[in-house]
Amino acid sequence: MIVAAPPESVAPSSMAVRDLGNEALAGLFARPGRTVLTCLGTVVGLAALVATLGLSRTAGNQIVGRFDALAATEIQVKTKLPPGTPNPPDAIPWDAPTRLQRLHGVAAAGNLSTVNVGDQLVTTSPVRDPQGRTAFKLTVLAASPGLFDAARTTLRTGRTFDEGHSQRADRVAVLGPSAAQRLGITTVDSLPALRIGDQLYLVIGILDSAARQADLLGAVIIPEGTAQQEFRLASPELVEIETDIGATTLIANQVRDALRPDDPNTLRVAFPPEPKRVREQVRSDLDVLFLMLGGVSLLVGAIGIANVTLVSVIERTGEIGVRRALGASRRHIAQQFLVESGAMGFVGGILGASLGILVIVAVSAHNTWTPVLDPYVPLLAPLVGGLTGLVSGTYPALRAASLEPVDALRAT
Amino acid sequence: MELLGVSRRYGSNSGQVDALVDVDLQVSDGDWLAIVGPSGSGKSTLLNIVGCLDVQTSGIYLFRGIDVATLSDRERAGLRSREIGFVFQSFHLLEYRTVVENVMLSDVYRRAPLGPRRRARAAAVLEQVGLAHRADFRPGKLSGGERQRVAIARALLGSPELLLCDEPTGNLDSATTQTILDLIAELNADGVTVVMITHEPDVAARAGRRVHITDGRLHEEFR
Repeated sequence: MIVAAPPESVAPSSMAVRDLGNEALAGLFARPGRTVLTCLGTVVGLAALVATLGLSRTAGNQIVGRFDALAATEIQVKTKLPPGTPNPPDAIPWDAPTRLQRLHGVAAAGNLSTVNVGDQLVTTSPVRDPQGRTAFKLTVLAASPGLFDAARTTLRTGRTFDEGHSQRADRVAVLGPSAAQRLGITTVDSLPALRIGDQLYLVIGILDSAARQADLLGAVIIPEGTAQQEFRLASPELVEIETDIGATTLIANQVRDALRPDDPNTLRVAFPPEPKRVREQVRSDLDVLFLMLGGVSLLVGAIGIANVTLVSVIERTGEIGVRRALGASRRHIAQQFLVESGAMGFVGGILGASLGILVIVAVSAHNTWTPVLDPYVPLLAPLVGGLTGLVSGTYPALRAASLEPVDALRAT
Repeated sequence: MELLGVSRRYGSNSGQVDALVDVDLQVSDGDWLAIVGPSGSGKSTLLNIVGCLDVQTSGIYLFRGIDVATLSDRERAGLRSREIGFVFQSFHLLEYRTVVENVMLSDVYRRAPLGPRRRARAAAVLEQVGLAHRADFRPGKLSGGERQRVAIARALLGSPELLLCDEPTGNLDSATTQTILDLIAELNADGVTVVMITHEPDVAARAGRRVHITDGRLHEEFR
């Protein structure tokens, strides 16, 4: 009579962790070239992720590196009337520049208005020349003396007008460079004059450039007082203000009360958004793009690992059979392939993090920035890579484990 | 070990194949049993069931008193790692490992000591099969007979009670066949139970006991 022993007496086979590691490593080093190529996808993906995170931190830590001083110090004050409608009298006071100069933080301020000259043309010659055009339709602008500073203009020749010209309503004009070119005036030494309609104006200066208010370049600019008298300018159209660096927000809050204490709400203060915020916007858009790129390469890398591991399982069917015969359980086979794919992802993560850090350092060196990186980013990269490898290796590992040892041994 | 009415049926509802039909077999410790039969007769299936690689569809297989069919995959794997050594016709050595590493492979699944001690044991077994001088070669550089001796060394590393040989000389010339059979005979004399599949009568003649298998049915051959 045969009596079966209770099955509890049979110990399952087991494998030491070190053995598991050795076997997996040996499997990887059996085809080193293929292993390296398989890692490449995760390397690229994680390098992109690490570099993106690092560069965004690095750039964020620059103390407004390339500060756009021009845009960061400009404020314009206008009325809330729709553009094109002439301002009613006293909509903006004539002494706006003087009032604004009293505010701490205002570097320069000046009024600017478009003068309605009707159909009158601008010419330098009273003679009508049938051969060529001598009279032009040019923009005529009225400016307070401070505007030339507030708009950061530079002179090519001559001078700009001053408070005296404006008070006396002198008929003088400053030309923008392209206006001067059209009128054929290159120098003020010969005291050239031009006519607006029938009125003669002495040209006292020609501008070279204007950093703000590009309209100035093609215009005939006359003193504000002159425009009031000759063309019945009722009120300045806008006030151009240059502030000290960093003072725009403060000045923007004060400027309406300073100009129209009676009704500050009729004024509109326009100032460019702070450049820091602009750059943050741009940067975060780029970040999303690169993070997506990194994610996609990581996905491609994961598919690569899954593919190669699957091929490897099929190629090594005989080996799987032998290992089963030697005492490996299904679990041991699955563990080995998981460790192999996980190790590929892990190594890919280490290489990717290193590559990403190199990119950060190189870009920082090129821009003379201080490279900044959260320490957890390069530390996490191998873990993310390993996890990617494990996930991609799951299906091949299960395939390997599900092989019947008998079939596996017959395969080769 | 003991097989009682063991049958193995392959395939699903359609196209079933009976590889083994109602096999009764007893193997005692120290036996050298040859299973002889033409290809497709079911002898490999029988060997796989004896080696706990496959499980019968009906009947009882007792290995040292244990009903193998009731064991889990891991427990059967444990039995294989400790009690059974396999030798295959196509050797099944890992090409990317050295000879001594191939031998050491069978220690991986039984938590045998690692490092120099394992290597020393593997070297000792290689010495036993006369291949100590080939320890650091890759299997690809060895002759067929040498490879089979490596495979036998691998099977012997855990000092198994049972050595299962699936056409161990099928890929070897007759001179090499004799040296392999001599080696097996030596091991059998040392007390290892040997179950060997072959279709060559003169190989089977070396065994102490022969059974014939045709169409899945077993016939004992009495001298």
